[in-house]
Amino acid sequence: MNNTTNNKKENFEPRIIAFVCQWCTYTGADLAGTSRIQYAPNVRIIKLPCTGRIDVHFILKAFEQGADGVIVSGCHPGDCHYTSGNYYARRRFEMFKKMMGFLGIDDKRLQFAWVSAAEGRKWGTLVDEVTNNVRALGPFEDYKSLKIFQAE
Amino acid sequence: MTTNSNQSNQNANINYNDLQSEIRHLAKDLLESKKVRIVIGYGSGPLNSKPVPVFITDANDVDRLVYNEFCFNNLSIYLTKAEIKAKAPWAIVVKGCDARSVIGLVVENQIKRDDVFTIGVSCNGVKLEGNTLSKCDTCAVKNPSNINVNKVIGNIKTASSTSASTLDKELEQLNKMSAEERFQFWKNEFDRCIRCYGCRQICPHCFCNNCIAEKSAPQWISTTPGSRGNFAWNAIRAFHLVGRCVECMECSRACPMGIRLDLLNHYLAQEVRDSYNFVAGMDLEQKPPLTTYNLKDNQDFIK
Repeated sequence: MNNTTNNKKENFEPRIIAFVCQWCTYTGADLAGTSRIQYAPNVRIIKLPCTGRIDVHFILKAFEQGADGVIVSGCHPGDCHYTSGNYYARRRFEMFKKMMGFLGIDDKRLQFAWVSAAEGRKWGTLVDEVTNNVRALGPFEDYKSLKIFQAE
Repeated sequence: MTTNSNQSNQNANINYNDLQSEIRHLAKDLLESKKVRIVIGYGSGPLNSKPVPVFITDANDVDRLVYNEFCFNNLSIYLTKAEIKAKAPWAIVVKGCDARSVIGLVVENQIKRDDVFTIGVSCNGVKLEGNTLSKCDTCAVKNPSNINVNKVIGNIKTASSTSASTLDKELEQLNKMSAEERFQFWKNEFDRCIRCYGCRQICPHCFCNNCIAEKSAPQWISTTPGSRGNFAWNAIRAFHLVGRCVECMECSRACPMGIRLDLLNHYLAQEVRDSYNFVAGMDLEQKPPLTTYNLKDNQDFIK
């Protein structure tokens, strides 16, 4: 995507990265597709075994690589395929979200959700909502302004 | 770091010579009775105001141990080093904050509680370059008797302080800022980072042999000292210590660029306390909050 055009606010299309668990949310997103549910095409889905597998480095990396917003989604509490992965993830993400807020990252850019395999509709609404929120915030200039080299 | 005149006045009441001789006697006993093989403590360095760590293995050498108001180092960092580990059991001179580190290491199975004899010195704040460290303002463990230590030396009482510490005030100010302003604040802080990893090297809880910062396939954190890698490194460092950091604040003391790591650590420690009712390094039985879960954990932030 061409950054110079993308960064203009008027025709800005947010880039959303979604880290999802393969058992619930990925299947839910699949259901959204087979049910022909229309939702924002701005999301790129990355499938992982479990929300417990979603390391916070992934989220930082996504922002570094140009994401304007990140969705993390998995099974509802009690539904985890590995029984407790999402419980651990819940604590980790609570602290991570707080820390990111403290470091000055708008909490609308980082959305956590539980979407089950039967909730294709919820997935569509979630993506639409996050896309609209991030579109209103504009490109994530703050993070993109962090250069790899100091002299850049 | 700020001066607190009240505290320095109280410091005058402590007889450091008494504390020092008591430490020496205890060390001698422990070494002679072969209860420990090594005593880790403070020794006099080139400057009176900067004691250096000493490792005493011979009971005749205990006079090398000193104790004064400048003993700011957290010596528990040595307990996870291979050279020291091989010489268990040890005795270690700890202040309240350092005693919490030792407990933290036991909880995380890095050392065995029975291997370490903790000589808990009650402390009324330590001084660095003439100033009492800001972490000492509202220290809740001035007397380490409420932590699991083997022997308490000195009898300072932990005053229940009602006034907010300097750190709390700074935190409040930072929380009042908009997200944008906070981002700029931290960007300015982290931009100074030269990636010496001093914060990691001095941290008793950063004991991984292979740190994420050095992994290259894939590389999670850019190793170049630029804004991007600096932000990722400092965020990850702080996050890896959530619920484990005992706020000894050695990282911010070691930082040659004066990055306010103490603010970040203090914020996270407070959040952990408020969310999970957990204070690191106080209890041998309680698991660190991110290694466990509760079915009723808060999930208001999850859609």
